[in-house]
Amino acid sequence: MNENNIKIVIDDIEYDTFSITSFEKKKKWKQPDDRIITSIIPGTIVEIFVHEGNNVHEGDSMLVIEAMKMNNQIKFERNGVVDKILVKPGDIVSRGQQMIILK
Amino acid sequence: MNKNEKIEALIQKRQEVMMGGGEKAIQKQKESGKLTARERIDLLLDKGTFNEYDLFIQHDARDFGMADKVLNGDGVVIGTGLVEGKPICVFAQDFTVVGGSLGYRHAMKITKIQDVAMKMKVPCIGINDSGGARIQEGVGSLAGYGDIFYRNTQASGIIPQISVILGPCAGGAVYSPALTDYVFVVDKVSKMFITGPEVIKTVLGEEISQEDLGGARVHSEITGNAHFFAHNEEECFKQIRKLLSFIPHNNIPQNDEKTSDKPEVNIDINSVVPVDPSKPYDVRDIIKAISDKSDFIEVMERFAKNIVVGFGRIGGKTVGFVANQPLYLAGVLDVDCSDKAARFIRYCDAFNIPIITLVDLPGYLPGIDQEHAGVIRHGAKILYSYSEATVPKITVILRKAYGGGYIAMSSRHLNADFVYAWPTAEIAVMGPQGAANIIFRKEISEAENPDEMRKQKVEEYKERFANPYVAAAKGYVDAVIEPAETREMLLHALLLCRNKVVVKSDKKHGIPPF
Repeated sequence: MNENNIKIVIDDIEYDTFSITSFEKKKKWKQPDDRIITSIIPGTIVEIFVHEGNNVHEGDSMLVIEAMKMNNQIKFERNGVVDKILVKPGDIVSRGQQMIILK
Repeated sequence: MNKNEKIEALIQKRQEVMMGGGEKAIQKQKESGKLTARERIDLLLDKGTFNEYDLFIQHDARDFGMADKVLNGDGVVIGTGLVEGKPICVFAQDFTVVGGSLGYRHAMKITKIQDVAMKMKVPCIGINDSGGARIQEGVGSLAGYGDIFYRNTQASGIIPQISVILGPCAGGAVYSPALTDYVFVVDKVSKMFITGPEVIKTVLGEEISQEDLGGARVHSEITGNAHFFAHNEEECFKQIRKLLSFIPHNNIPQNDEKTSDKPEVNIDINSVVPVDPSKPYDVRDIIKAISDKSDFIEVMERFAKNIVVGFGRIGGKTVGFVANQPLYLAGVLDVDCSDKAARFIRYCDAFNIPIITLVDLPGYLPGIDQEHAGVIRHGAKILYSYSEATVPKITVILRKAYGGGYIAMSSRHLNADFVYAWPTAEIAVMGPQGAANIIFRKEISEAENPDEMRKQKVEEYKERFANPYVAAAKGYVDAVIEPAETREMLLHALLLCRNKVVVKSDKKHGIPPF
């Protein structure tokens, strides 16, 4: 168990106190960046429909990833230009791995 | 067969069935560090009080070559017995019989004992140790789970329901415990999850042990699914017996009470709380200093430790304590502790247990993670459950009661019956530093020496507002009392509340924020 002495500041008062497990495990927030497309699930890339430099629109097919015994077709959620493609068919991707970056 | 032979035959038949899955399986159960179903029931009950039913039940499966198989008791033991002389119902899954898997008759035995518990208004204790659904019985075993869940829900708030996890409890099986009032777990023995490590590995490629995924510590400290943690099965059943000695055994208002005993701990209650509101102390010392025999059973001791909830007695009658805990996270309200407190408050309300609230908190915990985790929706549960509760509600403000936290912690405004404050109480819209920085922003920034001015303004604010008398002047606090007077005041308030009448509204049920 975590019994670390910590300080918590509320309304400009610094409180002397101890930490607890769930507080230690909290996730740090990161500014979302919708240019970077990451895999939401671990799986295998089956097919990629775009090339670097392509103009893409919201709703266009991006790639197919096989996961949970299903071929999942991933679509673009915004318009943009494909800057970099970081994966190729046959690659195994883990959750959160970067796949495509838009300009 | 003559009569004696028939009796002899019964005794032998009984002995055979009571061997469960046989000696080899029992041996295996022991080797994995677990007791048998019947040993567990013996630990739970007063010696020699167990009466077993449906010992000779036969399973239902006809497919996959199951028809000829004999499954003793169909993998579960049910019956009634006494705990400190009071009757209770119990079922215990027998892992030695096909892994305690749940078939339809197995489930029927459980629902039978649930029905008895409901009809007789006695607690129902379920000991879980099962590999899950008996696949050979197909949809029949699903029906069985559903029948159990329905009864768990119907019984909720009428009789106490306790789940003991003493082995695996996976998939749909976890939902019966989740629907009950209290879940007991034992270190290294209990395992609970919806999808196990194998599935997680196949689907997500992530490797994790059963223990790290859903062991006793995980559920006691991180998920909040478990309410009591024990190091071994013996300790676990002692905890259950202790809990059963505190809680009423049904929701019918009753006046059974123990003799009123003085607190036993030698604590100078006047000196526990540091005057400096930023300094920590253990609020459980206050609880012990005002409870009969200083006897207190804490619920969810390892989860969301920034709030303390549990049962004690004052004047021989069981009360539920809800107390901010400055020792951890300064006693702030956050997502987890709101869930913990709100459910406890609703439990007390359902079972006619008066609620004593001890207040000392700086407010809600600031943070992106808290906002994104839904602290609005979760924090609202405390307001809802206090406002909804009609049992006697008595509040003692020990020290800080700032802002939204003041309102939430059973304030007069949420219809507390009596609100007391200690002379160290600071009931204000926020802490003096924050308040002075806002109210005197201009004076501070325009001063020749802003730090000096800030210090002066904070002092001024403290002097005028960081006390119990502003709230007392408005009648929001009924009495400012010496700490040493607390127990006497509570005894008197509880006596007054005995015949508290609340006019019931005609609503079916509310829609609490989940």
